[in-house]
Amino acid sequence: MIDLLAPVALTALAALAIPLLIHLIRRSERQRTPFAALRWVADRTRPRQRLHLHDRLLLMLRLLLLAVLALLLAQPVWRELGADDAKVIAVLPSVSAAAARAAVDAPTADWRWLAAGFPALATDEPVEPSSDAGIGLLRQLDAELPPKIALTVVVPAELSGLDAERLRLDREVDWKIVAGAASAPAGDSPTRTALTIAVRHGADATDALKVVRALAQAWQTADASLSGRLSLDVADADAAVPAEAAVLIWLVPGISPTLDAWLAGGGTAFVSPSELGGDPVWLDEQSGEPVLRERLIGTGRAVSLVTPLRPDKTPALRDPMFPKALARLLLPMPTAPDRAPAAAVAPVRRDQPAPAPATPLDAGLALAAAVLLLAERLRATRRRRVLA
Amino acid sequence: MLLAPELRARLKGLRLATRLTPTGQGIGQHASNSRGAGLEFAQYRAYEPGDEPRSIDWKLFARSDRYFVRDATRDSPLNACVLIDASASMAQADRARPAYGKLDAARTIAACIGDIALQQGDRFGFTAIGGDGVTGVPAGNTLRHRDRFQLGLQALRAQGRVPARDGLRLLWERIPAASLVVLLSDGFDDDVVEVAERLARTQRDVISIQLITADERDFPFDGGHLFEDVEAGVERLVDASGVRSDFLARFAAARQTLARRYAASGIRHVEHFLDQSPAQVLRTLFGPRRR
Repeated sequence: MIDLLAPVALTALAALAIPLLIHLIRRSERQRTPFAALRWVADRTRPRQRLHLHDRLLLMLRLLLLAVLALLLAQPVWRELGADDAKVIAVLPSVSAAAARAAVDAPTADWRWLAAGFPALATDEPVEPSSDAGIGLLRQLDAELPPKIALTVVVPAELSGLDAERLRLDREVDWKIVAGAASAPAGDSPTRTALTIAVRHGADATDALKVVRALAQAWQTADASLSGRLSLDVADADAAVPAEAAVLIWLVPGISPTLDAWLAGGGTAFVSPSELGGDPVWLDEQSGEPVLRERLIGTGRAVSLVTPLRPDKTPALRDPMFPKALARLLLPMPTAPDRAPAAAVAPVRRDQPAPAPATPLDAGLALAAAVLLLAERLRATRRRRVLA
Repeated sequence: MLLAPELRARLKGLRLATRLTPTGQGIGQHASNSRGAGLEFAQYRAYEPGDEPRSIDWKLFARSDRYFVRDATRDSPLNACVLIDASASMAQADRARPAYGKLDAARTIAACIGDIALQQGDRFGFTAIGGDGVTGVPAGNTLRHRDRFQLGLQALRAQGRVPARDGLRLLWERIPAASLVVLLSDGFDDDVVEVAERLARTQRDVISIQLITADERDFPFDGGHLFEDVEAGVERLVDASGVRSDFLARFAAARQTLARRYAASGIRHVEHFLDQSPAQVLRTLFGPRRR
């Protein structure tokens, strides 16, 4: 089906009147023809008023050329509608092929895995059952399929990898739920896991440790999800840093291989006092001086305080906003829930369907216009036959 | 250079001739009515006072007791005068050949006649009647006269109208009686036809060559045209294809009327179409007679 992206441009077809007018004007009547034997030319025969178009082939070429140009302005596209009885069955990779075939009885339909590239369901388990992108790919599949093709989706009872947006598709989807199969191995929600903060200090760090404990207290008070699972692992600088620690608070001046190794491993560290530098990320409200600086080292990230972590050396610690700012820089963001029972997230039909996938026809039309222009020029500038 | 070499080559064998007997002086090739002392006997006539006594045929006087005088004939040169219509309508040319109008054809034919006349030793000149009145080159028969004649032809311009009767008085001085007059005209102007008739009535041998363009003969126009008659100052918007047959019929009738009118006055009349060679019409008029 040919569709026009800019149908208003068809008003350019009004330009077809121009060549018609040009060809209607009788140019021979504008030229005087000297004719001495005029007295024998009958007086009564005025030129007939009927429309007379001269050089119709040239007129045809010009009209066609203008029509093609107007059509080109209207941006025609070819939309594939698809056959009425065509059917595509998309299977989420976490459902086995056998289970899917058992659930839907349509051997002639087009079976596809709901994975990148939509591979055919020819073999038993061709794709890695990673369901994270699967449901999002359903939107892509829906947009790419011609509108008349029916779509069946085979999903497990529980879906993961969902996002905040409801699945809204352009067609009615047959939503087949295969019992028993789970989208992803059930694990603890990230909101339940413990959050360990490793604190390593040098000699005489009593004041700094007080501040750290106060910060931890403030964080747990501010965020209810943190209370109870935030734990501090306080030790000397020599002690090893546990791998499961989320943040390392490094209160030892100077450069240390332990800190370097932590940052090189992709960890997040809060260093005080420090000369690491970096971009200012938090300013003192009174003086406007940068207090916290952030620097990316390899895959790791270091948030640094130039002064020691003591209220008398760092007045900014008294700022009530300091714990919140530091938490934003250090603590991992809570992830949004992305799992739901499949029955609850069945796709709904979009109110205003998006247009079907379209192939632009500009190149062919432009070529046709070029050929027509060439033919028109050849015809218009040909040598006039000498009247014998 | 009015005459192309190939045209000049085709003029061989053409001879200017007149039905009248020329009256001119000198020695020529045409039988003259001027009589007197000569070689060829013409007639006897009665003696009139003033005749030389030695011209009296005394032997005949002895036989008849009367005075008779022997007359001999002389061959005189012809006086050929080309009369060219130089009115504005003579500028008419074909669309296919816009640079060659009727006046150009008239120039070429006039130059041909001058060439033939020079070869025969006849006197030739031309007179043009048009917007400038009566102009032209008087008769002569020398080689230099031919150059003067051709220069005069080149200077002709087709403009204005043929003057009325009073304006043509000079014409009668320029064209003496018993001249051969070749009229080159489109025949559209009644005044010119009248002049030809009067010339024919007053002892001039008049030949008319009517110049007609191929466009006037065939009327190959199509669609609407704004036709303009320069001489009459009339222009008219005409559907050419609609009037073609009517025009062709009316124009043929007009040509026939003109031919009859000339025939009634004893004027030899031929038509010359501009897409034909001037040698063709000259051969018709002055070529060897076919029996």
